Amino acid sequence: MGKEKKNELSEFDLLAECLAQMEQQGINHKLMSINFDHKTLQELNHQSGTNTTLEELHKLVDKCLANSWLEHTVMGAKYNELSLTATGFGAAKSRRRRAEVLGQLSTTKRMSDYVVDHRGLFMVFGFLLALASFTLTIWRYLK
Amino acid sequence: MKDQFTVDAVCLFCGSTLKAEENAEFESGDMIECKSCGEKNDYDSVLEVAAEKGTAIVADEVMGELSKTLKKIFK
Repeated sequence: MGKEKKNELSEFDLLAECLAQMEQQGINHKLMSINFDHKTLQELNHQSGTNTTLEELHKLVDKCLANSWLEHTVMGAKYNELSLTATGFGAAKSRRRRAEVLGQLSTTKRMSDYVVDHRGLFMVFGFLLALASFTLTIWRYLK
Repeated sequence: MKDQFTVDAVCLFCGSTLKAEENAEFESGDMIECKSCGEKNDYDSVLEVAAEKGTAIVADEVMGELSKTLKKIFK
């Protein structure tokens, strides 16, 4: 519920950054190219308020490469000249749309969704509360 | 050469085939939930990826057929 507090970047932040650069430059995913270097890391950390290291960023890029969300445009350094694949572009768009939809939900709807998503937990709490009330009642009766 | 090709719509996050109820209809702008990973996929993007895959499959088939035909001609 509400905006999540972030400690570190996720692979989806990288995809979002690629999408943002594409829109900035007015090019599609087949023409774009991005280097995941110190400069990009600084921008990402600044935008997200995180403190990710270059090594951690490269691990995230590895995840994206493994999931075929990013691909190399030329043969060369592993973390340079990368572009979004059609799958990566779709994943980035889907995540963005999901964030937009979540942002438009009313507080009541968000609370309701939260309860539905965590209904198992609420059932356990309800059971424990009922058990505690029952135990208290029996104890008072026996007293 | 085959007349028909089938391409599954797959989840953009986990790669599982997307499944929906039998009479479900989707249109541009809809989000399709993946039953495997729970992620919501943008319908237009899923179609685009499937179309790209389909185009690649057809291109491979055509190249294969062309290669066979040329081999026969120049035998």
